[in-house]
Amino acid sequence: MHEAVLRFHAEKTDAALEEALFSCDELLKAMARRLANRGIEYEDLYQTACLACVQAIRGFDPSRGLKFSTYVTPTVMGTLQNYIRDKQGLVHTPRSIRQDSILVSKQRASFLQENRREPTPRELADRLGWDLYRVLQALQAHSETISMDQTDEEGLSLGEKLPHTEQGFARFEQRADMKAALQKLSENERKIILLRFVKQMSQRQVAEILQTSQMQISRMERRILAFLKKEMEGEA
Amino acid sequence: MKVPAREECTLLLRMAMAGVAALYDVPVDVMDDLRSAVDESCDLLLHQDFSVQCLNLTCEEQKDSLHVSISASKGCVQQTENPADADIAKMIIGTLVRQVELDQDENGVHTVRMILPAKV
Repeated sequence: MHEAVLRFHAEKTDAALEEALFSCDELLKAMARRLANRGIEYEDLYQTACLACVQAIRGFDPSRGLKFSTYVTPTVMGTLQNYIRDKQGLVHTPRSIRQDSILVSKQRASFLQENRREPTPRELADRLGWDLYRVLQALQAHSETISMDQTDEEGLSLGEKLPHTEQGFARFEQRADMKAALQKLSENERKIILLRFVKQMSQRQVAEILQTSQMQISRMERRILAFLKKEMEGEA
Repeated sequence: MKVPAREECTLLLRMAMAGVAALYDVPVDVMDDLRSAVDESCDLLLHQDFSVQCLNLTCEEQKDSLHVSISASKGCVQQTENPADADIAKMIIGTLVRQVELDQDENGVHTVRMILPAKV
């Protein structure tokens, strides 16, 4: 994904743009699917995601040293959430809950800094002097409807405040990338990965099932893992 | 908790799961992972070769771990255009919870069982 976007910035052609957009397709579909249960058709969300992605590809600045997926995911998610908000009032969150959500985020970040671990909702409730239900409501509002671009009273967006603690997007990207990468493997290669890492079999057991040698499985496994790593780093 | 098998209703299961996780005193990031795991599980269950009438979420505390089960009440058998890939779904859910098991028969996956790490 990242390489394709870099190629577009080097060439600036329609073909390179199309290729860059195509490389993001799995991620865009995953994001559209993730939000498709909020009363808007999947196809509409997917189209909106594609348009936002084209803007993101054009607006991406490679000199800042960011991975493109780090830039495009919050951009497209924000656009999709705005689109849903514009189309329907279903995800409207009361101002008081939005404020609570921002306070919870701040407390979560400071707890993490002080204790080097994530807080439990009860610990957040204790620090804020709230009941558990209020904390849960704020966390829920944050995870469901708060845009990463939404700014607080100091003009800081959640995206700017939470780069080191909010790992939801990173995990989401990793899962989407992994899904896309696995689909590029041959049936046999995918079987090796599944038998080894899902069914936790030894190389020898896998070799017996696939009627080959343990050495061959070992070589294939190394090659597949290297391929997956490259794919997930956007270098393949 | 039992909800109709519609994508919009899976939000209720996510919320219920978050509530249970909070009572179980899991850290906020684990709670986020659980929400995603419930999402992935529902997505898997709703795309099998049978119609689904309801989705059931069950949480049970056992010794030092929380056992979560999401099951689909099976209706008639029918071919789904794009059935979910159970192995990939299991791999994804496996990155979110300590242990995951899928119960399946000839028509696909009907139950996802997950185990949460020990209490902090």
